[in-house]
Parts: sequence; structure tokens; C-alpha cells
Amino acid sequence: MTRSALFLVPLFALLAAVEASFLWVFSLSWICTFPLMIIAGLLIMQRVGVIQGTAWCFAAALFQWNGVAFCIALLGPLFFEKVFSTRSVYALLGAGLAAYGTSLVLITLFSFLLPFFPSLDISKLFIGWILLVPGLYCGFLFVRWFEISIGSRFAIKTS
Amino acid sequence: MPRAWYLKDKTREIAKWLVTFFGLLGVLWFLSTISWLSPVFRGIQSGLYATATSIEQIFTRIFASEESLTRQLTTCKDQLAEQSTRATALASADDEAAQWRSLFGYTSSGNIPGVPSRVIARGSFASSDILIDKGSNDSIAIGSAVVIGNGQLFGVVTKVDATQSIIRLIEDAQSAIPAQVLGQDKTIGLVTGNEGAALTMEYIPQDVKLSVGDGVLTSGLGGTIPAGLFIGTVTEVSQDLSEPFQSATITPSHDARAWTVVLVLPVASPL
Repeated sequence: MTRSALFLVPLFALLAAVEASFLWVFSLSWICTFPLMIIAGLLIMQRVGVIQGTAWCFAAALFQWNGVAFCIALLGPLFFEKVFSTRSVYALLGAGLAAYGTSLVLITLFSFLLPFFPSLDISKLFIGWILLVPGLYCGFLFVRWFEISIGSRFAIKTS
Repeated sequence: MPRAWYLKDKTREIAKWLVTFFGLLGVLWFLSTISWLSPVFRGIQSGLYATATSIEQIFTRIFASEESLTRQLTTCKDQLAEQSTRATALASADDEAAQWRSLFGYTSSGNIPGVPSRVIARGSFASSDILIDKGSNDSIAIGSAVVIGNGQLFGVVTKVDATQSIIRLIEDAQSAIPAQVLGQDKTIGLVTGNEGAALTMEYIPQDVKLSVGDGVLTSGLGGTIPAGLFIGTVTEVSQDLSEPFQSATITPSHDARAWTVVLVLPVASPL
């Protein structure tokens, strides 16, 4: 099980660099709001393991100071284990949209109720929620291809 | 108890995985801060950043609104106007620098004394006089020869104030410079201006053979203008045998309007 960490850590660094140095450069809001790390975390949560996905989302929240990732790290296991427990793309979309949407509601509530809570651009987070659908769908297809063609050569175990 | 034993084992495995994952992340973060490894990470990031910036610029150009394009066009026009002004000023400064270098080469080649001066004003259409920024405070006297470039005669000082002087150009109708034809020491004449680009050399004896292209220099007669200063070249010879003298049209080698830096020679300075 620990061998999967050897693959996920470089992948985390690479995707974090892509998100920060590539996606966030675009001034067009619909590109820079693409939640790459969150999509990767949700995919890992379903395909690899809930623990691994939760750790990924916590690490993303820590390195990028991302409140949505933190909420998904807390809510994701609940949705993946209790509500959308199958390994289909529909379960992934359902769990992802539910976790992200719940995070969005919580963050909006916190920003209104707690004065010290940092203000966030809710509209950009909402666009990110919409972009989650194509992101998760394409990510699911890629991961399925990866599992079938290459996954057996690396230390990736599916739970 | 098997169930408890299983849970304990599972918990240990999860803990081990978490420690490995966050530990490796920490090691990776630490490595990225080490000087000999950070260029690798920075190189990857800068490559991604450059690619994203190029793509963004393409998108911006394709989807830019008309108002945005109009604003950009206005900005470009303003910058073009500003750069054109700067280019003109630089070209003018280049010209002046070339003139200074030419004068410096002339004075240093023969250890020729003189007062470098700048042209600060030009006369009206009816006058060929110019105003320079040096005067009696700088030892300039009436009758001093004024040269440009490599010792070409430009004019003569006609009026001197404390800090400025008036120069009469050799093209002026009132200008009369004692001259000689190069190579023929005894062929002397008087070069007068015609308010145009060409000069006239008069009082040349009829027995002197002049050719087009002959150089004309100052003769030094009169005492105020040194000998040997280049005036121009013969471009036309007018010979009427019924007259006692012949004349020639002299074209100066310079354009008086193009020079902004001149050298004022002391009165009758030996060359």
C-alpha cells in the first residue's frame, strides 16, 4: 500500500505545478478556475482509496491554502463510502458534485457568518463546480485507460 | 480477538501510508528549496508559465473586443509618436556628435587653436547671418574666420557681443573672401557670395588656365582670415577675352544649413 505513495507524491508535485504555473496564468476566468487538484483527489478517492484521496485533498488544501479542498477532504469519504459507493463514472460525478457543492455552501455560510473567514470569489468557485463535470469525466476515462494499459507495471493498487 | 487484531493492523497500515505520503511530500518540498535542485523545479515551472502566457496572448488577440483593440491601437499610435520624436532627437544628436568629432579631428591634427561654438539662431530669408553662443568673453574678435568639419571656411565674424557673435556666411552677397586656386600660388581672386548655393570667384587673370574641379582656398591676403582654408571647387569657368579678368563659379563643399557646431579661429592664426 505504501508503494502507491511513491507514485502519488511526484504526481502531486507535477499537478500542483501545472495548476499554479499553467492554469492560473490565464486571465479568462473559466480556465483559471479549473479545479485540477480537486479532480485528481476525487479520482484517487474512488480509484485508489478513500484514505489516499483524503490525504491528497488535505495536502492540496495545505500547500495551496484551498478551503474547498479541505472541505472535500472531510466530506469526500462520506459520499464515496455511504452514498456513491460504486466505481462507475456516475458515482464519481455524483460524489464529486455533491462534495464540491456542499463545500461551496459551507464556505459561503462561513464567509457570511465568521468575520475572520477569508473572503473568496464565490462566482469563480461556482464556475469551478461546473467545470468539475467535464474534468471528472475526462479524468475517469484517462484513469481507466491507465489502469488497463499501464497500471499493472506501477505500484498502484485499487481498493 | 481477530476483529480487533485486524483493525489494529489496518490502522497501522493506514498510518504507515499517511506517514510515507506526507513524509515524501515534505522531502520533495525540502529538495525544491536546495540550490542545486531548485533550478530543475523552476525550469519546469517557467516552461509551463511561458507556454500558458503564449496561449493566453493568442486567446486575447482572437477574442479581444473592438473597444479593447481600439484602445490598444491608440496606445500604439501614442508610443509610435513618442518614439519618432525620440528618434528625431537622437538623429540630431548623432549629427551634432559627428560634427564635434570632425572639428576635434581638425584641431588636434594640426594643433590648431580655436573656439568651438554652437549655432543658436539663423537669420531670416533675406539674411545669411547666423548667431553663435560665444562672444568676446571667449576671445572672439570681429573678422575671425569660422570653419566647419575639416577646416572648410564657413563664414566670418561680423559682430561680437560678450556672450554671442554674428557670423556672415560665405554665401552672403556682402561676403568677399580673398582666395587662390589650389596649386597655383599666384592665381588669386575674390570669392563673393550670391545668396545661393554657389559662389563666384572674380578678378582671375585671363592667362590663368582654370579647370572644372580645381580646389579654391583662402589666400590669407587681408590679414584676418588665415590662408589655406578650403572654400569649394570650381564648377564652371566664365571667360570673356574682351574682359580683363575671367570668373569662375565655385560650389562650396558644405551645406550651411546642416551644420550646428562651428570652430572660430583666432584672427590671422598661422597654419
